[in-house]
Amino acid sequence: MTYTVVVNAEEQYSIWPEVKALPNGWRTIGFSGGREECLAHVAVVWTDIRPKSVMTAAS
Amino acid sequence: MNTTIDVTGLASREFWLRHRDDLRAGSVATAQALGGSYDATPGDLTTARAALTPATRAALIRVTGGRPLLLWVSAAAATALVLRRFGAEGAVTLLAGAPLGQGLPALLGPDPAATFREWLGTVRSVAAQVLENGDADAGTLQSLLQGDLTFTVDAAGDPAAEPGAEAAAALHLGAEEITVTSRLLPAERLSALATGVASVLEQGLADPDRRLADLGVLDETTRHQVLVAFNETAPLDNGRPYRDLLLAQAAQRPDAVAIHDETDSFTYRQLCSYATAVALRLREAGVGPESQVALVAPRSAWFLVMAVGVLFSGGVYVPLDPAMPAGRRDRLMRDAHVVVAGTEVELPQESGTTRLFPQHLREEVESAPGPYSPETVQELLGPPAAPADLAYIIFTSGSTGTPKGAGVEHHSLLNLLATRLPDYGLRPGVEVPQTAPLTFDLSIWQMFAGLTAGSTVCVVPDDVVRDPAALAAMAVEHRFGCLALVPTFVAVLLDHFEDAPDSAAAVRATLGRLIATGEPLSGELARRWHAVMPGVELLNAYGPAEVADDSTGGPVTADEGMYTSVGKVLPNVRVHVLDADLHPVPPGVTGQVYIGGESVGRGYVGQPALTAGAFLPDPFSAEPGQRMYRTGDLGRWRTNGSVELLGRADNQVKLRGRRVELGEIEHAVESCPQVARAIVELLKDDGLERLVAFVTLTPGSAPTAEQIKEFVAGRLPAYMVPNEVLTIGELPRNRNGKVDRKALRVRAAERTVPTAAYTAPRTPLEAELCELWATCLRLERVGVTDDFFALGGDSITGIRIVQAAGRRGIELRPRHVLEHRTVEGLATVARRRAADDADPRAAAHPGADRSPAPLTPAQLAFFARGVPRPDYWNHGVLYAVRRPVTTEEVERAVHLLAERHAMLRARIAPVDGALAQTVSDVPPPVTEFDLREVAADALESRMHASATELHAALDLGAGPVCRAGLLRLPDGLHDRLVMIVHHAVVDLYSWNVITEELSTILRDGGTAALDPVGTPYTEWARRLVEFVRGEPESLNAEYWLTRDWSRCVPVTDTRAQGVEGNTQERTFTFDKAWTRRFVAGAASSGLTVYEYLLTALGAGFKKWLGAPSGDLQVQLGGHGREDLFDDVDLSRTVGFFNTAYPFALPMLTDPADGRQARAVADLIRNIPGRGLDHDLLRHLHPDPGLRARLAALPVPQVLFNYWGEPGYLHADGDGGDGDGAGRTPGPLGDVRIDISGDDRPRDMPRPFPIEIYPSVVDGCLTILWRFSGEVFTAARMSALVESYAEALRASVPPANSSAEETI
Repeated sequence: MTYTVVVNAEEQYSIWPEVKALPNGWRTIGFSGGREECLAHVAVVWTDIRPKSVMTAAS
Repeated sequence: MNTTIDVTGLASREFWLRHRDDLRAGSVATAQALGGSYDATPGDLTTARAALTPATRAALIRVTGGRPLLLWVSAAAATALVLRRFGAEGAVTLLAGAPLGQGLPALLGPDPAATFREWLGTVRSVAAQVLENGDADAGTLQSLLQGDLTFTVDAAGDPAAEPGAEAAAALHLGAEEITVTSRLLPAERLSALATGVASVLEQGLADPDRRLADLGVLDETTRHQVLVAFNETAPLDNGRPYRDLLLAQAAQRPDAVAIHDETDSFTYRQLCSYATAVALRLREAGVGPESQVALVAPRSAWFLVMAVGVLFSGGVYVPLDPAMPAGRRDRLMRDAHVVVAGTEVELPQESGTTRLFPQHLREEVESAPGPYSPETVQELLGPPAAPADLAYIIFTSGSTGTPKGAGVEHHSLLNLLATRLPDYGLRPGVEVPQTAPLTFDLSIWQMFAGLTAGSTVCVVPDDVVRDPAALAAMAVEHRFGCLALVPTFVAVLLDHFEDAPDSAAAVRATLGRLIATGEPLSGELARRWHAVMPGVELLNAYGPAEVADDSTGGPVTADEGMYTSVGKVLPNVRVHVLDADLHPVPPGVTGQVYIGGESVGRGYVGQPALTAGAFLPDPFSAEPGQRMYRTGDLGRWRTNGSVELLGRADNQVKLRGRRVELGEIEHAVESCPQVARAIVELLKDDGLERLVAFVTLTPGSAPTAEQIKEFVAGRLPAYMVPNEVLTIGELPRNRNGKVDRKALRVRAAERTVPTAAYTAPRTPLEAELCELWATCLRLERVGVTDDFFALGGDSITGIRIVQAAGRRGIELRPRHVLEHRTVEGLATVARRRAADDADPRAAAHPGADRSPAPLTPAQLAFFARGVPRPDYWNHGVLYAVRRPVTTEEVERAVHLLAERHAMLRARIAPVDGALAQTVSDVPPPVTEFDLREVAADALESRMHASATELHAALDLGAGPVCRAGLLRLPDGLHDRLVMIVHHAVVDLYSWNVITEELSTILRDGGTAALDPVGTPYTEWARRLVEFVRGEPESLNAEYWLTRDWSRCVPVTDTRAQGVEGNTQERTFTFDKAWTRRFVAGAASSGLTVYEYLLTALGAGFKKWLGAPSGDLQVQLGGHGREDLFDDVDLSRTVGFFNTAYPFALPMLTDPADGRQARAVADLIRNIPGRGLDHDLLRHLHPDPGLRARLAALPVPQVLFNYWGEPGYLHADGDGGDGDGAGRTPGPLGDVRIDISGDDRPRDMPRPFPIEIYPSVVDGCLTILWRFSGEVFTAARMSALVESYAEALRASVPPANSSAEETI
């Protein structure tokens, strides 16, 4: 199955089957591939799993 | 091209054979998606309908032009997708109904990425291929299927038609609706199928360019039910920060005890002021929101105060195990800002980590406590943690070997704690025991929840947690309101309660509820809990650490079936059960469990890729951008909105191509009453796959591996039955108390026996302890210096030893065993209870002075079945007493009878670890039932019910094994006498003796007219054992071991035999004239009736199975009173002698062919020892290897036992008729066995899917059939009964007239 990397407003990343409609509140970032490929890409682009609102409050 | 019709047939045959493996795999997938046959009872034809909307009907006509073939394509396309949604992995095999041609299989594998239009095209080309190759022979087509349940799809037949003989269910696409019919599947499943197909057609035809991945199978009602209704939860007040909740409690009850352990105690005032001081100290070290504070210290009251201090500071609580290997611990502390650890913990010298010592910190804050008033604390520490701040991290083991730190934010923690207060009854004055290791997520609510309610948290020391007696005492002393334990500890606690009723009663009086959590709770354990601890609520809870511990919870009843419920969705949590394409599945259908809502954790701290893979977008949330956690657990909804868990998705293994749920096998093994816990692993070495079950046993039971396997074989298909069963004292566990599967695999690979120098016991106490150790550790002998752990001991074995010692009057504590570790050492602390406070359980067994006799093969074979209620497996016979009798007369007659026949007073119970039989002096009781006022039409059912009461009241160990009932009937009717005897001490032949003698005794008032009884049964048992030990070579094992059983054709694919209660009986009776000709025909060809019956049986099965050739494996039963010894006379011995052994019966074509019949007769006559050889070797041979090889032979699915002419059934004034000329007949007559009570429990597992008992009664050959109702459809059963009758008829030359009747 092909997945696509998705992200929400809190900048939390996840993956989603490409053939399924995108859930509300999530957008793609233009990277698709196998499950492992997508997760490897997430590891590159998502370095801190804190939600955006928590990071903003901390800074 | 040079084709002929024959060659065309061959081409088709080749086509099918080429696809055979895929079709078989597909039929297995279909069967699994339909739901397995094991709890289905074939009953009436059930029909479910789902209407097609007008738009769908119009679209169907438009797309197919009304052509039947295209309608079939649409129906099949939708059905295949529905089966995928219901859990079919890969392609499914459907049977084509009209118009494609009955019974042709079609393999359909929906690709989720395909559009509905593309999918219809694919199915159309499959249909074309099937049609092209429809001319293959029946034999070929029959070999293509493998599943237990098949599914026919048709679009042109009769919607009300029954599924064909082979099909479990049939789906019909009509002009206006979808119809699904079945006799096997539950109505809900049929309705889900019909609705699913209608929904898919509706969505797919409305927009053919939608991808299959986006087509759901639920109608609006069901969709609303599973997505909304099941997730609608009570409102919950979860908004107040943790620090505020505690400060409020401190203001309200400053001097109430908040936390205590054995040595320390902190009031709410102390807790809050010390926690504030700890928080201030952490702030000094730079701790703020999101800073991790690692607490590396043993569990104690002070630890809890520090943990609360971490939360007060706004930092992240990270509990770590001080006993963990240093390397691993250092990795986990890498991101810690502050580490609080004792001097025994060495830390790497580096980084900006601040090191604090728990003891110093304590001295510091006790000398300078902080404030506890909310205002002052706020002033000093600023606002409390925000809802989205990280609250704690719990490390869980990762499949890759790297621990994963599951981070949970404050809002999730607060939600969890808030659910606990009402659910677990937490309030001021209640003590909450903290029992779980701190690294286990269960500890979170145990530590933090009670404090928000003003309760007292009691830190229970580890050695008390592991000592059931001490834990029970502590629960009573501290009046624990609730207790949370993993099921393994629940089991040992129950062992203790069963041994110590006083302790159980005391705990029952104080404990409100027990919470089982952390691993699956078996239905059997739940049943035990309610039996032993009635009134104490049993709660189950479920939720992984990634989602703030618990996500569902609720009460568990005693009657949960194989899978207990883990309860309903907790407030503000959302649970989804989804299929492979993330679509919700209807109730009853298994899917993967996903958890969303308030409890979803932040993810794996520092591991974004793992987090992204496990925390997915929640497509069902009303709020945008929400996530849900993929648990990897398989579950299903019950219709009431509670969740059942069925195991791990990643526990799924493929065994020779079949999908196997290890969890399912584990559940089946655990439903064996002697098994406490079971873990099943698939081991592969040298390319050899074996399923190995690791089991722990319930106390006092000692089943063999074979017994457990036989039990499981009764519940699962053959391929799921473990190849090996290894009994171990305790399942190895990781730090959190969960089963360590990896350690089990290692253990299976290297099972070693310790070989320390043996030192014999020197005192009676040592000798007794050595014996106990040997029993509990399952070793032959134990020396006094052998080390407990080296012998394979563990804490659970230790508890078992202590419990067994207690029963013998030796007082010990579990910690003694762990501390002293040798019998020598243990003997120094063991105390023998004084005689006057002797354990009542140790009372001598009645009749212990008579030496116990071994069991016979017939008895051993019964106990080897491991049925749940061995006490209840009886014979009952009801007689009319044709003269007035007094109760005393009947009592006296029964006592005289039992005096002659010791087995009517037998007791069967374990002696030195093995079952043995003794004889008691207590005569069988006689119960009088007054049915004089019962109306005529209710009389038979009342007689039956009275007898059933007696049946259920036999007890093999404690007695009685025989009961008599005297039924007083209304005036004008003879009273009835019912005799109930356990089958382990009686057989059919015995009833001739019992009937005759009882009648004579009632007539004469004494036994003078009766012949003396020959050899006692116990003597026969001893002689058999001696015989096999002395002359094993005279018995022929090779006959069975070298037989080619692989030629045997299975009569059903499943090894499920079902339960007695679902037995379907059929009786076929031939008339007297025909029976006479049959008997004469047998005699004239020099054969016995038995041989004649068997020859025809092969022919009958051959036709029914459609088998071209091969054998039928039959379990033959004989009376077993064989003439082995010159000085033994069994003619009047009451006992259980039957033989039972496998035989390969050739399936012949023509039962009338004398040569074939004689060939079969020769085979039967060549069975060594008429079968007794097999039974003696299998059950009594001294070589366990040989016994195991015989036990490992394939088990027949058909039992054939010819009863002959049971004399007692037409007893009419029986009275020692040998010399009876001129005597008046005895008073017993009018024998009935049909209203003599239920002779076995309805839930007893059946031994075979098919049992056949022919007999000649009143001159008529009668065939009694007993089928497993779960396995065969009514049509299949009738077909077999008829097929055998036909073969029997064919075996006798036709005569003028022969009318038969079927009852």
